[in-house]
Amino acid sequence: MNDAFRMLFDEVKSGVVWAQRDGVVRYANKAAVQLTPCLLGQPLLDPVAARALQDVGSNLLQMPYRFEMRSPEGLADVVRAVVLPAPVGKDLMLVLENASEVTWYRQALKNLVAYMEVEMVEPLGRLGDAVRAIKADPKAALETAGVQTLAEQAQALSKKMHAMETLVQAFGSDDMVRDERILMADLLQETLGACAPLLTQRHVTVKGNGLKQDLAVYGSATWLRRALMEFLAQAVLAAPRGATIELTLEGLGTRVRVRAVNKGIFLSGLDRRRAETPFGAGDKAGQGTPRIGLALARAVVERHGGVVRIDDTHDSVDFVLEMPAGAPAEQAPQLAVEQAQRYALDMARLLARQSPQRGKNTA
Amino acid sequence: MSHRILIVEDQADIRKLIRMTLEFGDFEIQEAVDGESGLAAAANFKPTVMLLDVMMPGQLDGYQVCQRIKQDPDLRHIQVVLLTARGQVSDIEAGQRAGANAYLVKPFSPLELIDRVEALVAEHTAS
Repeated sequence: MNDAFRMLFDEVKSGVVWAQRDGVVRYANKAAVQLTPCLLGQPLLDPVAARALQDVGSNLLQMPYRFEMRSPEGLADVVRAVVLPAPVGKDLMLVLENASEVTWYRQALKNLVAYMEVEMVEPLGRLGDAVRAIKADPKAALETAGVQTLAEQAQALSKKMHAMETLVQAFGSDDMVRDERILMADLLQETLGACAPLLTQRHVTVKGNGLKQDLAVYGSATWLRRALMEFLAQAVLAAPRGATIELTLEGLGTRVRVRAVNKGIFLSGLDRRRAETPFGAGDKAGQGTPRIGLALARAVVERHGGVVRIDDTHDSVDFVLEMPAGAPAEQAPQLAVEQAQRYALDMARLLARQSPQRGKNTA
Repeated sequence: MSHRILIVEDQADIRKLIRMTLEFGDFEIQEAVDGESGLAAAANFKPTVMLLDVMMPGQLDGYQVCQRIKQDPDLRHIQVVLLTARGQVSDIEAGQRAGANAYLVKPFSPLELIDRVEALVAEHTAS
């Protein structure tokens, strides 16, 4: 394939498969490989997509030919596909778009409502019934309901409400960013300590690389601690049981990067959205998760001028957190004004005191 | 013989104000805009006094530069004055732990600046 086409197709968000008229694949970009399994030199492995290409190639169907298919994961996404003529020659081009992903991100509020329906309506209802029964006949109700069960239900609900409150604060808070000096090495050690129960539960090991480096960032220690906790927790949850995560801290010029690398795993579209979207609410009951995912980490880090993302390489899934190294480049304008005023006030006294002789200087 | 002063400050306006003040004295002045170039300039220029901003972008802030200066046998004689907008006790203590010789809180007075620099230069000459 022409290098210009390859460069273009490697960058687009949609999946692009370039195939011969008999359906044999000549090229597929990364987005396409994530949506449907394919190997170079062979027909597509998805039977619906393979049949569509062959039928179009045999002139049994007209182009553009649109159809729907499913991604290969357990909880499959809906993928919209269209077969088009390739830009050159007589080959075919299959363009894929993840319709579930598009729908998901457009329905943030519906996701939140779905989460509340899935995770909270039933427990709230049970708790409400128990409280009403206690009011009517306290002794009998407590003996039947079980104080321990009630306490556990109340605690679980409280945890979910706290998660929602944290998220609202993260997205709504204008004064999240502080100018506290934070050593990343110390923050990572704290985070690893806090994640220890999760690591033990999932039998996941963290292998550190460069974690003791002397790299500082400025911001809110409280919020960044929470962001890093969520970031690392998501990386651990995405790792298979018994896996090893390589956690790296590195300074890259004006940025500090934390990278958690999971080798040998495939993160499906649904898993990715769950990690990135608050609460990871799905379409059905039981698909919701109580964690607030990378969304909180992303909100906090973006407020501090950084980014949180998931990178796919050919053999690993990397959770990446980057932040500006050191203090923000812009100083508070109020301070600049005060400094200028102080100078103006005292410069006259300095002029009166000092001799007119000026020193040599080099720039 | 004029003494050498190195100004390490990322804000251009502040650098200019400091330079204007120091030009009243008999000093040879050099500037750096961040921690990394400040450390390199200290090694090349070998100043008597280094005016070092604490909060700078990049991988080395003022505390880290000060620590490295004081840990280097060739550079530890440099008198370091930390410049900062944060004057809390904990920040001053952090400056002391980093090995700073003096601490100026912004907004600082040009009189205070020149007095501090001249005192450090005199101390260096005496020793």
